[in-house]
Amino acid sequence: MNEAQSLFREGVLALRERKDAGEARRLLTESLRLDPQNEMAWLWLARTISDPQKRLQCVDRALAINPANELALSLKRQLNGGSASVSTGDEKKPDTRANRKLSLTEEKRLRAMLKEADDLVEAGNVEGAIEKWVGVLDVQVDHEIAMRNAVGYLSRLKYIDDARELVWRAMDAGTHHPSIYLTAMDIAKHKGEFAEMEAVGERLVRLPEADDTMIASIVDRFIHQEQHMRALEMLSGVIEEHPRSQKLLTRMGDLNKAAGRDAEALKYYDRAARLGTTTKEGREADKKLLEHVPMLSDRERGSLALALREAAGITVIFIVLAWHDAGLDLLNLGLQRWLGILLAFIGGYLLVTATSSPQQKPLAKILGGAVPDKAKRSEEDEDAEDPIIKDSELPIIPDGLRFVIGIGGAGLLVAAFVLVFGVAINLLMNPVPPTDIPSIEELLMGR
Amino acid sequence: MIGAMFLFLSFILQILLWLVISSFILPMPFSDTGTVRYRTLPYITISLIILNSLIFIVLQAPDLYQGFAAMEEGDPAGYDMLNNFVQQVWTFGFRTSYMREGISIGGFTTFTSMFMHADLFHLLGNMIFLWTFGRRVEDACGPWRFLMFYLLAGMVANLGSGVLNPADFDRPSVGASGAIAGLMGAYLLLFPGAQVNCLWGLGSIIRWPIVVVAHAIGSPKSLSVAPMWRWTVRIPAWPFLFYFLIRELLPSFEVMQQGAELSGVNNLAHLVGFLAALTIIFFARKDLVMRFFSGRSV
Repeated sequence: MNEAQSLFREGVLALRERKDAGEARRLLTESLRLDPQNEMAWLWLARTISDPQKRLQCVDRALAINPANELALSLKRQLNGGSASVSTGDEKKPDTRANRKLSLTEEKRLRAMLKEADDLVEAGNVEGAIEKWVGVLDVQVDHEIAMRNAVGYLSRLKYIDDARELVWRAMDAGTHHPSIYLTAMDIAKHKGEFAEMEAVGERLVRLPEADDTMIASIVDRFIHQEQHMRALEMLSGVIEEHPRSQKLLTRMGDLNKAAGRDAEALKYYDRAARLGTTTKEGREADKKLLEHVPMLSDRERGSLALALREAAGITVIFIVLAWHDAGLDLLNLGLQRWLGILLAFIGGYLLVTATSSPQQKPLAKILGGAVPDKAKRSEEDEDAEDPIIKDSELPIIPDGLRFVIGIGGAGLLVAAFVLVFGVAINLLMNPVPPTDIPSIEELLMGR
Repeated sequence: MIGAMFLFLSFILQILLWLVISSFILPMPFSDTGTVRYRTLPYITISLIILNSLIFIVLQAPDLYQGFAAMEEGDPAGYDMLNNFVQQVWTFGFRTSYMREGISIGGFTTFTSMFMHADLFHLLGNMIFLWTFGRRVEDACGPWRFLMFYLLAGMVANLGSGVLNPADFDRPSVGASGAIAGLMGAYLLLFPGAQVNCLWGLGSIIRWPIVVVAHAIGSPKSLSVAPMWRWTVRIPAWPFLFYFLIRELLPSFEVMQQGAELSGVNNLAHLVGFLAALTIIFFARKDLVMRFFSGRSV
């Protein structure tokens, strides 16, 4: 990839992913300085500009390079028609004819026209029926039934361009009917206009009406066109808007996995599974995670409660030891053993902090921990079992301090052991031989 | 030399016979079918198997088996050897009086008893179960936390069998079974859907006509392509573990209520060890605990 293309790609990402129009404009302008013949760069640049005149200039530059660029033509139509933009869809003022509620009279009129169209089809007059449907669309530009029938019959009659015009008219008017965008994608695919298909797909996935299943199906279309990276980019943007969609998160995991980015894939499967395994998608993500080394998230790394849990486990061991040592009488452990148990908890916590939980919040930061250098970590952790260790953003207690804490913890545990198991230690030094051991003869005789 | 060979062969035959007989009616799990997710080598499980085996083979078995052999030949040295064995078991086995009255090495017998066994079959049975259920529990905890859990389960099993038995009876208790019961409980908690490979004569016989029919009709697919006869059977672990729990439950209640004298199998220690599995939550890996409580697969 040359520098111009690289800048172009970064510019597109800046606009699409980060919604940073200023940065996108800078990168695209730089890209165009190196390669002024990139028509798509001119169109993307148009999206970063709010002044309609300047936008039009960009579109004209694209058309000067490729006069047949459908996207540019469509943009130009909108700009000349006075509508604000089709670029991001966010700033758009929808055409009043789209997405509007019809009056009762209009509804009656449209119903009558649709009935007439059906009658004409039955009579074999398809052209007449198309005229009626187009008439309906003149009243309501995104009427779904009229659009479906008109586009269907126009396509069968090979009037693809006319069908396309109807669809684009509705989209330019800001329709929210996903089926119309899907039709536009089909037409673009049919015509081999993959850039247009991408552009429509991107608009569709950002519609509020586009549900998870639909978005996943759009992504599948891109994959079908062997455009994995485009599908990944698109889905990545959509997931920001649907962060709790298990279906999309799992799909994102699948795409990353297919692209050989296993660590990324695991992150998405993990996000999906964490949202719950009561759904089919959650279970699917959970099942996929089972094939890999599990992940430790920063939430778990930084958890004080989880560290205390481990210390509690060590303390339970010491309580049981003390129980043994006190002649199996839990109620008479004595002050010394209770002190030992307390020390065991503190020592256990210190040892856990030094070994398995050195990134606890806020302790690690208080103790002067810093987020380790990523480059260094990636070298160190190349063989690490945890695939996202490189992504941890939590500070970690400095190694020297961890060593001191660990030694301190171990020391406290030794002291605790002496306190809780004192009688047994004394007996180990000076054993008292049991006097009631039977002989083998007595045992065989069933004593 | 020939005598020793004969002795060794008869020993192997005895073991095989024991395996066939003990696994004919009831399944004997010998491995689990799940994959480990963190580490491939269960260091501690293997070390525990080696340590238990070494202690028995090097320190206990010579006195026990040579003693019996000598005794059968009428050699009085055999009695000495067997007395040595009894002395070891009574000195280092777990007895409540050692804790209460400060005898032998006191509380340390809770550890020493865990690594001693009464005979080869006791050792063999325990080690098979340790391997079957320990491997994945170790994977779920990490080696050192697993070791702590194993020792805790063993200690709790000893403690429970001493404290909950009201009888004034104090025979030494030896064996890793209390700790291993803890592993079985933890396995049930963590991997309730897991399957285990079992030696199960009856199961193989029951399976055979089912597979024959499956081959004939071509359904279900998994069975229709499976071998006709298998010496091992794969079954879900939970029925086996529940059976183990129930089997230990009734005699344990009897002991707790009536203070029955423990002899042979210490069911109460098994039961208490099994219940000690609840403490696995302190020792399992952080991410695994979070997955466990959120209902995800561990």
